Amino acid sequence: MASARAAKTKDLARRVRDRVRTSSVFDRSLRGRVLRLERELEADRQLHRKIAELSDVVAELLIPIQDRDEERVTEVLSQYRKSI
Amino acid sequence: MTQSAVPTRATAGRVAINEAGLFVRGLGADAPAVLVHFDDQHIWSFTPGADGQPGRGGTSIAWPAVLQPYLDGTTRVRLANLDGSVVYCDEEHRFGAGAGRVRFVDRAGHPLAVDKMGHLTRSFESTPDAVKREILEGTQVVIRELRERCGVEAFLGYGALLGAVREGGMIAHDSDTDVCYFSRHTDPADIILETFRIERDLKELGWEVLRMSGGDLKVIWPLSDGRRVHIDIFSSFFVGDVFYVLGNRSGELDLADLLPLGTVDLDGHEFPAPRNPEALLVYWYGPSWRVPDPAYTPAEDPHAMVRLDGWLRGFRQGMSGWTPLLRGSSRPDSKLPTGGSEFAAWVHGQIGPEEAVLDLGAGNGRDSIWFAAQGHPVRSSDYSRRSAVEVRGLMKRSGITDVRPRQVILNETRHVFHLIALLSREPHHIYARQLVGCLDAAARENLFRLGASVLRGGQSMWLEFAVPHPGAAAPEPVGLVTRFDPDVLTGEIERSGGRVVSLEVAPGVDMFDNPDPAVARMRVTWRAGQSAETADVKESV
Repeated sequence: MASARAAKTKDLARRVRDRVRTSSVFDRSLRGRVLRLERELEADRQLHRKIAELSDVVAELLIPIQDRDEERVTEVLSQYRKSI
Repeated sequence: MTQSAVPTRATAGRVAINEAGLFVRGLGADAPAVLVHFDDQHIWSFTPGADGQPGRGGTSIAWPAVLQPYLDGTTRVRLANLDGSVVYCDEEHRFGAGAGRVRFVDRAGHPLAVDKMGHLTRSFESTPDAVKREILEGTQVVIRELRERCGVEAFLGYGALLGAVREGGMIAHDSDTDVCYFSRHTDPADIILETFRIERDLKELGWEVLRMSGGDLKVIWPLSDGRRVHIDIFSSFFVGDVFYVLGNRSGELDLADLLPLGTVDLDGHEFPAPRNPEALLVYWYGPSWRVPDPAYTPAEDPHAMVRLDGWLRGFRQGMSGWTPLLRGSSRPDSKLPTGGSEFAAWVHGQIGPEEAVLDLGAGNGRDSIWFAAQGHPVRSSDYSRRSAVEVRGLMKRSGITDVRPRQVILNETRHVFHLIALLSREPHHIYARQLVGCLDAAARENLFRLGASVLRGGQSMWLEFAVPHPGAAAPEPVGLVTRFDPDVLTGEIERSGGRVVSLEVAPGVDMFDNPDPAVARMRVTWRAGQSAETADVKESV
């Protein structure tokens, strides 16, 4: 019973916090701006892995299968999968 | 499994022991590391201040979780400091109802220990000299190939370097050798690309290489006694003025202390090493690196960890949860069902009898095998490497021979693009039972990218997943799968150019075939140049 009440209170607190954090006042506040910057910075960091993976796909998979030789394409596909 | 609490006092003697942990009277938070032996076998080391809970006149410490299943029987428990000058306890203790001695060994009978990460391992103390030599020679080969084949400046790192400089040999309580290399790149994307090349070069040697992050790899090195040791390969690099070494180390280092490389001797074997190894040891272990600390745990900069996580990680979450769940799941007594699911039968009734199926998130392959038995060509894929082992086990039991299992990590864009290249030439339906709730946003994006790229010849994506429902418990396995809102999913699908052709929400079953009050079945299609259309949505809950 007590834990259900605690969970309900926590849920309410979470909803209030989310509501505050999506308000335009919070968004303009220093704390809001820092939170937004942190999120954007994190998304930016994650691009490094995506760029590396896409570069690898282009260099090691797409360019080699450009010649459209069926046997060669099958071999490239098989080799690429073994190497990742 | 015990329900005892860790003792918080010792009524007789200095140490109280039970199945949950132990209490050492007079042991303060500033006391040096304590080594735990069972019947003279080193089991584990802990640091009171870092691992223990200070209490009335002493410290309580819980047994590591990996040790607890072995605590059954009698053993002589010895707790002492590193040089044995302080002995806290040396006495017989009986755990549980076991009649024999406690046996903390692997299946082949090799002694085990708990390492600093809390994992089961085998320490060098209990490793025969001939096997130690094999490990050292293997490490030399890995470093040589990194330098000559991959062209990077590789050297001995972490505990192996510490042992070499401090003791001239492997540290008794260490359990592995780590290799590092210096990357000349200073942009994380280029550092990751370099690891792709290194991984490829090492795999060409026929080695088993695992990717742990965008910056570190693991070579699985087989030994003559049947064991396989892990040799970690950690990249090190500068970004700005900060020097990073994978795992999670960061700080200041003068590059002149690292390069050009010198050599050190480790148990009679010569290894490349930092030019000034002491500077690296200060970087890794702090200024007190000369004082042995078998329970050493590093102080990692949380800000640096956030940076490294963002740059290099994010595609292996939950991996350590799936592997034990799937282990043995192809056996008839498995908790995971091994027969085809109702969802598989439902999908089978709606596709052509010989149309190919890609089973994504196949688990033990129950549905892959079932589809194959119905005559469908099947590819079976899962996030966990363990899946392929179980799928093969189930194939053997069922007499099915032509299911092709392969690990696919949807968060790894390279895996997804390989699938795109493959399936655009070999059209398959994409079948994913209880997968959506296991994926993060990036993996779902790649899932729908895959669908948008290859499902243009009349094939569909078939999804079954638990949905939010008032009063419904978290679906099993808790922590690895969550309920997912079908409206949110529909939005994501439509943004990828897909169309939800049908959606049913009804009572169903979870991953273990236990009843679940709200399970969605969704059929999704993509067409070239398709605009989002209103889907035929049917709700039955």
